[in-house]
Amino acid sequence: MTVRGEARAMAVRRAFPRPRVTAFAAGFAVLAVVAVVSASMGAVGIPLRETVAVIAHHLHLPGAATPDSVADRIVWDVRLPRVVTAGIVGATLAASGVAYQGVFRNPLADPFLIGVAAGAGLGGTIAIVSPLPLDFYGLGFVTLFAFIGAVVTAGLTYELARTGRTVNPSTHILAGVAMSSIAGAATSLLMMLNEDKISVIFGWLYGDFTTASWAKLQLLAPCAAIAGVVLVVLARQLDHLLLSEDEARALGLPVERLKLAIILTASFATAVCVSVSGTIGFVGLIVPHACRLVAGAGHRALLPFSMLTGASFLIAVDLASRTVLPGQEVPAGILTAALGGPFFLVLLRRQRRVAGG
Amino acid sequence: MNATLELRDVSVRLGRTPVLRGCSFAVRSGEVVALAGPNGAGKSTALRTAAGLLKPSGGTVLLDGRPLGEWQRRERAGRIAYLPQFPTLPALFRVRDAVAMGRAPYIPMLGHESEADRAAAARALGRAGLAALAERPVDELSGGERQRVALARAFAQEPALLLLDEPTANLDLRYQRAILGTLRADAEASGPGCLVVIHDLALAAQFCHRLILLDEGRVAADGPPQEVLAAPLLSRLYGTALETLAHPVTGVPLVVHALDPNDGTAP
Repeated sequence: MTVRGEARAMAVRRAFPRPRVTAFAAGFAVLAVVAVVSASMGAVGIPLRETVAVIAHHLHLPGAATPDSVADRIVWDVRLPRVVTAGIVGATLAASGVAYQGVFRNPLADPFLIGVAAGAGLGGTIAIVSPLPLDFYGLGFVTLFAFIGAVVTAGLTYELARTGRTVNPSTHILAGVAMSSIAGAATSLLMMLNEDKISVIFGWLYGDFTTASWAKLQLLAPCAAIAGVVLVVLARQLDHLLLSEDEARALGLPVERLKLAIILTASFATAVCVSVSGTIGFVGLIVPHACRLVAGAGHRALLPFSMLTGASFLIAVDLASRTVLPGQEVPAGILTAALGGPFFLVLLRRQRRVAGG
Repeated sequence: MNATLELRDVSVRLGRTPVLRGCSFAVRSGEVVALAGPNGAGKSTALRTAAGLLKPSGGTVLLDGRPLGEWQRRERAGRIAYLPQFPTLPALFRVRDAVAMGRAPYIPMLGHESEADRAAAARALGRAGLAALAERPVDELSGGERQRVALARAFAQEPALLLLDEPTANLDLRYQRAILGTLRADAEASGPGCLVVIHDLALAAQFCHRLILLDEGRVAADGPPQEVLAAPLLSRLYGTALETLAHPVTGVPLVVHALDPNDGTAP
């Protein structure tokens, strides 16, 4: 065995005996710390103690003092909605990444890379330029169309990459990139043809967390929760779908129906995320891969752990996007791409080695 | 557990190509049946059809007298286990978890695995000789160990019939014997019956109760290995000169290449 092979084998072995409970406890602790730190930092610094007091006050925790009113406004009305939104989007993107990777048996699948995010963007844009009423906060018809766009691209990309009964992972990603280009071109064309609505489209397509509010969360949170719960419930079936189709069917699984349910749910989750925050790529790739090393590949642990970690990850990314450049925001999608691009390339190389390419 | 799986005049097409053309045979609990024949004879197709994974274009597959298509998915999966030639073991799974996947037919959609499921998985690990490897990631195993993990998964399914596609193809001599020996001992101890695709006719003769030879999608012979292998049809079937000898002690037939009549050399 080569030195590298041995190192990998050791990394694999290390990943297993670690008790899952510890991993989850650590995950929750990290999430709490990241959230509080993120709510404290920004143009106006708030002491961590003050931030905790504000949160304790609003959660009606016993013994909570009445916080300073300025700190309360900044933390509770401005920053926390943003932190919670980033957390939910992060968790949801990570969950859809895990789901796509499982259902397509492709470790490179990510809502952004397989073209689903671009498809959702095109779908939403079509709804905006159509005479349909724009429902409040951009959810409603726009999200519905984004969902349809996401499902259609997920299916088309997969079919384009399929040869017989197998899909080569790299080909799947290539098809996703091509579909993204096509959907992106169509979206641009629609924007040019509808100059009166260009700012609405732009705001929706490249949305960010700046406009987050508790009111908007009332729509985002239930949608994300539904998607998350459905995927967690199907976690065991996701394990079985890692087998070949024949093996899964021989185990009594309704393979086609399960795949459809999982693709629909993951695409819905992606569409909701795109509606809220625009296209943020690579979260669904980086987070699940890192989490596999800690929680193993079994979806019953991997899926919730990835959601937990995805939440922390995107909250941290959002904090960075607000603070790396003074007086200016760097969109979260640019930061995740900067991190995810190299990460993807490493995975791609490893994938090709495994496939003997 | 008694079960009978019967193919009755079954024809199957893959795309437009007819692969099985009126194939009839049966497998019962208590016996290990070898399915052999030249490449392209339809062995794997016959096995997949028997597992209910391919729909026949003609004829019927009966499980306990009832057409396979009328069985509920899970019900059928509790009776028949199937392993392809290259079974999948998902990366980064522990041996224990990969084997526990065999319990899928018994765990309700929204439920958890029961004590019975855990016990069955543990028994399967033991039978496949994997108890010591239970906590190891499948990624670290050798070819023979991986094959045994897949087999243990099929054991955990606790089927009445096992359908295995070349379970010994990439195993060394020791594991070939270990696996086929286990299957035969289990079948005789009222464990699951087996239908095994196998290329090595000597191995088939040694471990299987019955041997079915397929040729171009039809059953060319079906009977005890001694009878099937004694018949002169082997050379014609495989398109190469073959000879059947008897093992000097046990009398089990051994199929070997015949001397080439043209140049007198053994190939």
